[in-house]
Amino acid sequence: MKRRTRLFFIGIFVAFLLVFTRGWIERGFHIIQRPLAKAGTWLYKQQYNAEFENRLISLAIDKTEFEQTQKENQELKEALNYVERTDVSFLTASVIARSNSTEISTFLIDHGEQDGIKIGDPVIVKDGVLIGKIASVTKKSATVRTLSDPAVATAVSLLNKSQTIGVAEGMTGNLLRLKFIPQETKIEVNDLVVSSGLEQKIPSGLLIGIINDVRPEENAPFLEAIIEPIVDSRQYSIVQVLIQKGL
Amino acid sequence: MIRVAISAVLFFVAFFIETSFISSLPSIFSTIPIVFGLSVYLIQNQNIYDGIGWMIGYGFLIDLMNMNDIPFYTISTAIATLIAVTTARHLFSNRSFYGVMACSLSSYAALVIVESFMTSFEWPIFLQMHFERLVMLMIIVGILFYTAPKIFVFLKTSTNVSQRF
Repeated sequence: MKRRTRLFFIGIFVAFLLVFTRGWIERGFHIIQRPLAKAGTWLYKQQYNAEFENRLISLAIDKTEFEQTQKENQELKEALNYVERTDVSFLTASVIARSNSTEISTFLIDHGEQDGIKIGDPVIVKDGVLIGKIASVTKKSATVRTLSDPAVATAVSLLNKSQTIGVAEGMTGNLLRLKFIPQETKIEVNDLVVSSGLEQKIPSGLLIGIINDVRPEENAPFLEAIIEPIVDSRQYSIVQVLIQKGL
Repeated sequence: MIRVAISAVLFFVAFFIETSFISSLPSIFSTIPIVFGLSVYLIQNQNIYDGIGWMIGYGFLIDLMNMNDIPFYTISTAIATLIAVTTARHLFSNRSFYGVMACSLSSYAALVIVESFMTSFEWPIFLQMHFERLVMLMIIVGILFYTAPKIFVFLKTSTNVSQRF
């Protein structure tokens, strides 16, 4: 057999081997990938003022919790027959690889279907900052799409007087866009944006970002708000997945 | 056979470095297409079969690990490989720096064109991102063109020396 043909068949054999033994191989890959991703993330974090960012997140979380508690109080007063239907648990996972494009914003984590992760589960960092959702899952790993990915839409609400709700879509440049806001709605720069809880798997009150800019939508009688995520997902090599067992 | 195994191991090392370490780095450094650059260099200047395997293998692993939004990324890299092989064999000289650069440019352009048909995007961002990656690709291939032959010579010499003792 010619060398060229032999190499071709070896290549095909290796490809089949990788597909069929994927679960086993992935575990081996993770051992190598985890420290590499951690080292890269550590270098990335060096350019940020971590202390300032932590303070910002802490203040934002405090404000979110306060607003949420107020809102919850009111809702509970109105509906005392509220029934707890969900049973949320956290799963801590390490980032093992990332897409190196600015157009697509995904990363891979080292836990998958076997650990109870399902498509659509929210991925958070710190004390409840939503950074993405599970886009696809294999037995031992899962792909997370960050909120700023153009393919991701998230139900959000604003912590302002009008409690504006809407759908924030990812846009390139690590930002989100909140569209179709009626002109009369009062939105201000620096308003906090949290998850609205209108999505099945995403609880309300997870911090997302702050309003960065409000402008009229092009050729439409609506406003458009630009949301700046409160954290940069690339700064984290460890994330938490919220797994809902009760639903 | 040992040479193929070494090449495969080096491919996996480069793949892990690119997808786990480099992609976690800040800003423009995260776009360094290290595997693509090495593949183009191999196709143009060293062993063409290794280069083909590396480039198609890259697309295959990206697909296998669900790391890209673009469906069937293997197809995109296979077309880029075809362009790289054709230009390396029939169009550009492997001795000239400009030849290697032109081969990188044409194969990367093929990859971008195929990608643009397979996904929806915002043109300015898409072009900016690929321009950054192209610049990094050129730098990688340029560095390889001048340093890799020296590394190969060094490795060969040191292997011969160790065999003598």
